[in-house]
Amino acid sequence: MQLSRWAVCALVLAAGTAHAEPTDERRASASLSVYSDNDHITVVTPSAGVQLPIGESLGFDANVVADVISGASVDVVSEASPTPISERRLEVGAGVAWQFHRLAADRLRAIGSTEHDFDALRINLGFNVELAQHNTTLDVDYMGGPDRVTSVVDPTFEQRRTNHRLMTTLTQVVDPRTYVDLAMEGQYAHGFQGSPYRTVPIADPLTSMLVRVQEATPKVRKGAAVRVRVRRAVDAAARLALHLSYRYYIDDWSVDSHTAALTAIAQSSARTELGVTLRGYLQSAADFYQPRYQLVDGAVPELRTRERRLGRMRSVHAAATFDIQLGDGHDSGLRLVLAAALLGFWWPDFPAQRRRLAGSMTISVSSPF
Amino acid sequence: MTRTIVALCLVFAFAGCVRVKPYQRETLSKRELQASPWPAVERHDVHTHRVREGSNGAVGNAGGGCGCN
Repeated sequence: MQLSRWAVCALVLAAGTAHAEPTDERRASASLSVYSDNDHITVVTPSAGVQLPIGESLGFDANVVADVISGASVDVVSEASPTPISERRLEVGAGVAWQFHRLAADRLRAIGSTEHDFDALRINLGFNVELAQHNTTLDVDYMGGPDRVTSVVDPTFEQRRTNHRLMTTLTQVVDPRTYVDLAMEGQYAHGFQGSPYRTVPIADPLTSMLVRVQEATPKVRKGAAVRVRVRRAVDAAARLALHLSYRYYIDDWSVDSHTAALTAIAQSSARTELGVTLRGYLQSAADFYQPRYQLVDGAVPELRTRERRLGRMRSVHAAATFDIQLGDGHDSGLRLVLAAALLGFWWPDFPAQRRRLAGSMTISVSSPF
Repeated sequence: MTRTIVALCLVFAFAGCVRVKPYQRETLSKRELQASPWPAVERHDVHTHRVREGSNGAVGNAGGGCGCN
């Protein structure tokens, strides 16, 4: 369960980045990512993948990802377990893409993830079609599947949740150096959306005594998001390219957020590129989130959570990426990518920890074979 | 919000009139302009954001766990 966020987010991302079209080359890749923060959390994520063309119109890809987490977060120590944690998660995904028309392709992908107290399965279906003489691309992507939540503390505990997400992306060529993307997304989840480990302290205003009760959140959550992104080459040779994006999200728990990001990619030589990314995020709180809960007329509030991500928050992310082409050919040879990032998170209404600073690093290698 | 979406759709509708010829696409085809120039890096970054931010909503807010990550 400690890994559940990583599990589902990885599934979401894996599906979201599934190949829209069959690959035309055999390619293998491997990466290693490390995250560490001042809350004593370290996450090491190795991954490997392969993509293969099958005939002229079919492509296959598969990947495996592991997460190894160690830590002694303030949440873990005070709320769930008196000892530091160490957990592992394994995720396996495989998919096919089919170019069924000169201008259209579809894809099917399945991803499974398991850990000792959380299992997830996702099915991803999608297609894209090129319109207006290749100037407009429409991509429709559905992903859904069940989660199964258990607990190492209580062997009898078992809850389920079903997730659905539908995203439509329209990409338009605006001029010979510019793309504009418009993505709209709807999400729906039904079932258990709390944590079996998290308890909420409730204060009795008469006695000032605290009682701890299990977290309780609504069973259904519906969300929607829209994102606009501009990708533009500053000059015709694309020695400098800019990606600028904005995303707005809102859901029926009254959480809304604004995300803005800018990435600049510069060719520092014929074989090297340097990218710099700045990202800012601002979020409001869920309507039932409170920093501290009290008994109301002697009763425990029906909805209560100690999930910091449901409170107000903001974050910043600054990153640098260095890309080295080691083999022959600008885009098809052996490629090494190094990335480092600094992150800051602020939760002003989360009393146990209002700020967290982190660093992350990724090393990625890919090569045709 | 609705007006924003309608406005964006109108922008795209007019943009659909744009015709960039195949021989004008050399710059557009460069990797620097692709949606995800560094997929492994993006995968990790998005992953990191989604486990700490509450706006992934219906799909991304799984369980919640201990809040340790």
